[in-house]
Amino acid sequence: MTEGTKATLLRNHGANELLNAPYLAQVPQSDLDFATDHPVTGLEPAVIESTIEAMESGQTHYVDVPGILPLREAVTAHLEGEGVDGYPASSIVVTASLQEARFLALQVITEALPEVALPEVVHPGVKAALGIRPPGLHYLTVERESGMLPPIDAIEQALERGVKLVYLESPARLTGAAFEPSSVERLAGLLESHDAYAIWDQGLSPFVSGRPYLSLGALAGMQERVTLIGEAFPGVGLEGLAIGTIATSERWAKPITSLKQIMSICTATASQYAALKAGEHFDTELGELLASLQVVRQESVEQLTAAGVHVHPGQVASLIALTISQELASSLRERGYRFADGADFGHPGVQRLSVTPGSDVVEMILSQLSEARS
Amino acid sequence: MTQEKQKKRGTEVLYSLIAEARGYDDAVVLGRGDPDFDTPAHIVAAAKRAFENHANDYSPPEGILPIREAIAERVQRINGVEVDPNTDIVFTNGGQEALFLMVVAAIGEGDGLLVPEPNYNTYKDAVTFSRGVSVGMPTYPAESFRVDPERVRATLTPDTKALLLVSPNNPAASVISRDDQLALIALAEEHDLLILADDIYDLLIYDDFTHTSPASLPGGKERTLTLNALSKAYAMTGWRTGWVMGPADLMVRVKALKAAVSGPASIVSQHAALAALTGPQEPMEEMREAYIRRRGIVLDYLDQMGFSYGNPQGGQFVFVDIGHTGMSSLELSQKILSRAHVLAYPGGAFSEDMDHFLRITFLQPEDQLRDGLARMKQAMDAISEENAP
Ligand SMILES: Cc1ncc(COP(=O)(O)O)c(C=O)c1O
Repeated sequence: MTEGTKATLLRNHGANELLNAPYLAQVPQSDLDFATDHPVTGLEPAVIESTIEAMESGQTHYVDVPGILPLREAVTAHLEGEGVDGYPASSIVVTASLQEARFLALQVITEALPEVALPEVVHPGVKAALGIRPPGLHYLTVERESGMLPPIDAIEQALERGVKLVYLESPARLTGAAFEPSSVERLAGLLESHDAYAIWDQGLSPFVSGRPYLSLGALAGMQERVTLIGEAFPGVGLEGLAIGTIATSERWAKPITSLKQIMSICTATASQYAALKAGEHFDTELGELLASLQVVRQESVEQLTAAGVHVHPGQVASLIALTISQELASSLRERGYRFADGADFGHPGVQRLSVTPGSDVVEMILSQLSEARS
Repeated sequence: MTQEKQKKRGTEVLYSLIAEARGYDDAVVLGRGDPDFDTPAHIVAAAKRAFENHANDYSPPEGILPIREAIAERVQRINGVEVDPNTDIVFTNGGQEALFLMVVAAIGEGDGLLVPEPNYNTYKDAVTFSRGVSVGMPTYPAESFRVDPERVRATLTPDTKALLLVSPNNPAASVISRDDQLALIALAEEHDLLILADDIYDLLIYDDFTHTSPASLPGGKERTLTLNALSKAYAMTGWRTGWVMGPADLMVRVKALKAAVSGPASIVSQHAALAALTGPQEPMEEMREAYIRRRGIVLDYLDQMGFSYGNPQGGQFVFVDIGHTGMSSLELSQKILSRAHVLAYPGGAFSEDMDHFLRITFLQPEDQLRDGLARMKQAMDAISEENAP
C-alpha cells in the first residue's frame, strides 16, 4: 500500500531537523523569563500617540512593499550615524520581524548562491529559515575564546572551497561576541578576493559597549556584497510589534522585495509608524538604557566570576552567556526562571540570560549555586 | 510561457500600472483590492489600548489564545467549522502570509497544485517559490466561471497533491456552490488530494448566493487548510491580519513554518483583529451595504458601455469581457489609464487565458466611482469610434 499524501507530508516534516529548530521569542513570557537577548522596555507615550494619530488619519491601508519611505530613510540615516554608508532608502526593506528579515535574505540569496557557510553555533531561527528549500550548508567551527565566533581562517577555507555566501552574526546571538575590527577588515578582503557575499546580522550592535563596533557593511566596497539584517531599533519597546529591517545591495533589493510581496504584501502600518517615531530619539533613549545595562552587567559578571561561574566573552551589555551545570539550570527552571539554552544554538551547556536591571536573577543563580555546593 | 515570465506579467505589470496611476492627480483607481474605507474607529481605539497595555505581551508564533478563540468562534458561527483554538489555528500577517504558509505547507518540489483559472497571482508565485508546479484549470465566463468538478478531474496529473478552491474567486467573482464543493471533496478523497481553501471574501456575497467552506462538509475538514483575513471585509489591509486553520496534524507543520518564516504577528495587530471579530459588527455591515450599492453602479455603467461580464456573485470586483474591442487587456487598460486616468486591472495579469478581461473593483466612494466610470465610458466611446471601419 502506498503512503497517503498527508502521511508523506507529515513524515517529511518530522524528519526536517532544520525547520523544526526551536523557536526563541523576542518578548519575555513573565518577569522570570530572561531568555531574550535584550530586555524589553515600555514604549514612550509619544510613540503611541504619534502612531495612533497616523492610524486615525487613515494610515490603515496597504503601503509600499519595502516599507513606508520615511522609515526606510530613517533606517538609512541610522546606519549612516553608525558609520555605515551606501545603503540608500531604496536598498532598505522593512520586514515583519527580525525572523522575516532572516528568512527573506537567506531564501533570496541562497537561490542564486546555493551554498552557504554559517557558524556551528548560531541562532536557531537561522536554521529554521533554511529548513524550507535547504541550500548546501557548510558549518564553520567556532572558538570558545572569542565567544563562539568562527575564526576568519575557517571562513577563508569555506571560501576556498567555492562557497560564495557566508551568514554571520556580529554580535553573536548566543554570547554577544562581536568580531574585532581587524577581523572584519580581513573578512572584507576575503569577500572581495573570492567574489563572495555575506549576510550580517548586526541586530545587537547598538548594545555593544566598551569597544568600538565595526560593521562589515561599513567597509569600502562592501555595500555590493553585504546584506545587513536586524531588529528595527531594538531596546526601545518595539519587540512585540515584530519589525525588522534589511539593508542590501541593488542586486538583492528587487528579488527580496518580490518575495516580501508574495509572503506578506507589506509590514503592518502601525508597527512601521511606531518604529518611525521610536527611531527619532533612539540614540538618547537607548543611551540611557545602555548605561544602566553596562553597570548591571559588569556587577553580575564580577559576582558570577568570583563564584567560579564561567562567563563567555561577549561585548554587548544586554546579555550574559554562562556555563552552569545541568542540575543548576534545571533547578532554576523549576523555580520558574527561563534562560535561552545554548543547546538550541548548537552549544549545549551554555545558558544565556538577558541583563535586566532590577531583577534578582543573578542573586538567585548565586544562592542556588552555594546551596548546591554546601 | 515559463512561470518566471508569467510572474512578470502578473504582479509586476500591476505594480507598474499603479505607479503610472500615481502620476495623475485626478486618477480613479478601480484596480487594487484595497477598500477605500479606513479601518473602523473602534478597531483603531482597541489598537491604542493595546499599545498602552499589551505592547510588551508575549505571543507564541501562532498568536495569542484570545485571538485564536475569537477566530474559532467566528468560523464556527459563519463557516460552520468546528476548530480547536489550541491546535487548529495560526494567526498570520494577513491573508497573504496565510496563503504562502498554506502553499509551502502542502506543496514541495515537483508537487502539483491545481489552480482554477483565472486566479490571484500570488498562488502561482508561492508555488514557484516551493518549486512546485501550478496546473491551471480553465473556467469560462459563459458558465459564470464555475469550477466544474468533471473538468477538474480531467486536469489532474499524477503529481497533483492539492486542489485550490477560492470562493468567491478573485478576479472572477464566482462562488463555488455547495454541490460542487461536495463533488470536489469526493474527487479529493478519491485521488488523496489536500484542499487549500481561500475564504477571504466569504462575507462579501451578493444576490441569493451562499458561501460554503469545504472544511464544513463531510470529508472536507481533515484534508483542508483554510485561510481567511480581515483585510477586505473589515477594511484592515494595513494591519496584516489573517489566519490559517486546519486539522491539528497539518497545523503542526503550518505552525513550524510560521515560526521559521516570521514568528508571531505584531501584538497590536492581534488586538486590533480581536476587536474587529468581537466588537460591533455594524461598521462592517455598512461597508457591505455600500459594496452592494456600488456593484449596482458599476454594472449599470458596464451595461451602458456594452460590456458583458460574469455576474459578480461575491468579492469586491467585476470581471469584464473586453473581447469585442479586439485589444489585449494590457493595451486597453493602458489606454483607459492614459486617456481617462482610470485604472482597471488587465485580466492578462491574472491568467494568460484572461487577456480579454478587465477587473474593475468597487472600492472607491460612490461619487468617485461614478466619475471614474463616466470618464471610462467617454474613453471607450472614443476608442470605438477610432476603431470603427
Ligand atoms: C484571493 C485572495 N487571497 C488572499 C489575499 C491576501 O489579502 P491580505 O494579505 O491583504 O489579507 C487577497 C488579496 O487581494 C486575495 O484576493
